[in-house]
Amino acid sequence: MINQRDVLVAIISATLLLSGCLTPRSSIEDLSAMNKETEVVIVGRIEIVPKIQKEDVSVKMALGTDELYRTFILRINEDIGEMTDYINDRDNMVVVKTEEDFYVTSSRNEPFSLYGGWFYTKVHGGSGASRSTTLYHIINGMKAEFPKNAGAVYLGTIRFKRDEFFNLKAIDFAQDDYAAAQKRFQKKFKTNMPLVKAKISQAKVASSKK
Amino acid sequence: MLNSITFTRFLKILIVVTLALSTSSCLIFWTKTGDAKDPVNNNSILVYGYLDDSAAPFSFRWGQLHQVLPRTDEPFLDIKLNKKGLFYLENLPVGSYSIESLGGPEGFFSNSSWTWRFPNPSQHPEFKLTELRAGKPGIYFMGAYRIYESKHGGFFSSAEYSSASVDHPSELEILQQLREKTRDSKWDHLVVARINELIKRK
Repeated sequence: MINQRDVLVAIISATLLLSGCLTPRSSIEDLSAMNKETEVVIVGRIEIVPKIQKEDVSVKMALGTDELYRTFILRINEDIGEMTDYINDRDNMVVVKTEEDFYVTSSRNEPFSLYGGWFYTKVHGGSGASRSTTLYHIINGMKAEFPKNAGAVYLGTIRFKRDEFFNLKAIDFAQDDYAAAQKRFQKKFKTNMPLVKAKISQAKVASSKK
Repeated sequence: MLNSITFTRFLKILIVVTLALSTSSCLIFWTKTGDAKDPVNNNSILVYGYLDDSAAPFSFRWGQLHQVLPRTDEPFLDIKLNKKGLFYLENLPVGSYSIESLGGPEGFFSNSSWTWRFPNPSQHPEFKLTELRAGKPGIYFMGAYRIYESKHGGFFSSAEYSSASVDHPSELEILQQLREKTRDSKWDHLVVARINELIKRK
């Protein structure tokens, strides 16, 4: 069965393939997709404040989606120095939805790092095709450390605060949704596996680029 | 009789040229150069700016504004220009706008075109006028810019280009170009008032 997430990834892939990029991976839907020997699942949430409304993103494609305005592509685990929307590393870019928990697999032997990500503000297909993106860069990254025996790690909520031009004005980080996030995780994956709170070294410097 | 033959021949040539262009993927773009139309209501603004394309890799022939607020289903608006660097657009609702992109063809014989986006003003303050918050009706300046070759291309590498805001032409000189487009409209008194204000400041 094809779900909305598959459609989103397909559309983003099509857009990126046209520009010579690889395809990003997506948030997992089943714990069997992870290698429990070598991987943990990282649980977190991206919020953009104020929320991006559907009308904020101009989408004109033959195969459209109503959800593209909630799509955010995370840049994780490898510091490339400067944020870019060019995908040349499938493992370290993940398609997630804003205002919704994400579940991302990562190596259990190294801390998880989040360097920000990007989202579309314009995707026009067909003749005169063009796209615009806005990039939010957490300079030096937000690092999450966790015990080696953890199976699932709670990162927290990352809030990118913006102005009406999508410029990043501040970045907030909180783990206050831990209990509810654990319930959602256990219900979604039908598991009793506890979420382990990650120890975060928070980045204080962030920037945005279009 | 002769006129009729000439017209038929012209029509045939026109059809052949149109078909040839449409099958060769040539880029056909109608540059918007018309004069400003009267304000549609009491809540309208006119924006204007300038791009020096003399050192750019393209001839400035089109561009778009992004209407951020008020929200709309068609937020990307084609600007008008005069082919001398001036760009402008009238009859926008009071709100927030940014310059989305400026562009044009690479050359007469080239099938390539350029779309130029300015750096983010939150990191590059010299581009702060590319983002506009217009709180009341009137005319608003969105800056003057130039695009130039910042790194020469070599045999194995392409040239690189950058953009900068410029003081020349001044806003006053740009307004004088704008006046040629607004002279017959009800925007003209606002343009003249701004010209007089800038002259007084000198």
